[in-house]
Amino acid sequence: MTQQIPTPAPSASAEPEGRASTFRAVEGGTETHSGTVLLVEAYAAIWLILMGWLFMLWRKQRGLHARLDDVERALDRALADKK
Amino acid sequence: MPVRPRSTASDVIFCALVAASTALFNATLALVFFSAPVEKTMGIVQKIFYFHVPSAYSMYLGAVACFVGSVGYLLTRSSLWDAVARAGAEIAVVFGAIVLVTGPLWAAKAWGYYWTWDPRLTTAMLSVLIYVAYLVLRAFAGDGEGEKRFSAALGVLGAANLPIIHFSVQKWSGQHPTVITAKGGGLQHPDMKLALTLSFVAFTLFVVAALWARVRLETAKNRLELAEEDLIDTGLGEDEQGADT
Repeated sequence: MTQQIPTPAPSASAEPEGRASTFRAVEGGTETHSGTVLLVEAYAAIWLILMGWLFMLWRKQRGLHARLDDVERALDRALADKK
Repeated sequence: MPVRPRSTASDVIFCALVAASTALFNATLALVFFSAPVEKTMGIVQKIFYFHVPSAYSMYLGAVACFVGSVGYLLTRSSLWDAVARAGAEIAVVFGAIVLVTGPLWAAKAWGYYWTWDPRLTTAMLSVLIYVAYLVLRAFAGDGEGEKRFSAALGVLGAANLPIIHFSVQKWSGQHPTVITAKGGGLQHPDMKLALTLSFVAFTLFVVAALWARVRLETAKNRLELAEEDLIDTGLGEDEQGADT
């Protein structure tokens, strides 16, 4: 039984006629990334996440202050009623 | 007239921690961008490393705090330990989010794609999701004794994933690099090592300060809830409750 060995396809660059002679623009082609842009995005993301967390903590603290004001008002009213 | 609380020794230590971490963050940024050389293969994007790795370490610190607080709560039923666990889980989520955002941005350049189901990436994401589940449970299930115990159990179980994240690179094949090892690491330049070391110290101080502030906020909330309950029990807070609703 003989085994058929597939012959490799001729390389496009093997013959001068087969070489690329034009560059055509495509939509959504191979993605290339700029290291600088990625670095700036990463540092911006770190700041955004940390600032978002601090904002959330500030809102929690503001909520606590509002509740504390309610408690103080209730106590003040009770003291005024006693007098 | 409201009484202004006097600053205590703990306030001074807290301010010193915040000031030290701010100064160290500035020094780290200066070292990373002006002193540490650009990496040969990956180029400038490798500089994400100086904040990506300490963020992962900070996530571990938060997760360990959550574990310690959860165990403490299960043993003592003290609300202080519960506050430590809750603060730790929040820190784990914040720094885990930083890791999960900065890692893919670095990978886009280094590997050519943002995400792959590599063992370390997958286990790290799983860990963050566990702590997100913890916080969602605490936010929506109420502050009853049963909910706190269930959350504490989740906090203990969540920590079981930490060694898996750490050793996944050595035990299973994957693409995540192993630059930081027990043998000293693969940073070739002294300025690279200095920048990373400073970053680790800055992140450690920041996590301690954040944990401290978060525990104090949680403790204040617990005390306020007790005061509100006392007011309602004595009939003083009924008007305020009615006004709110």
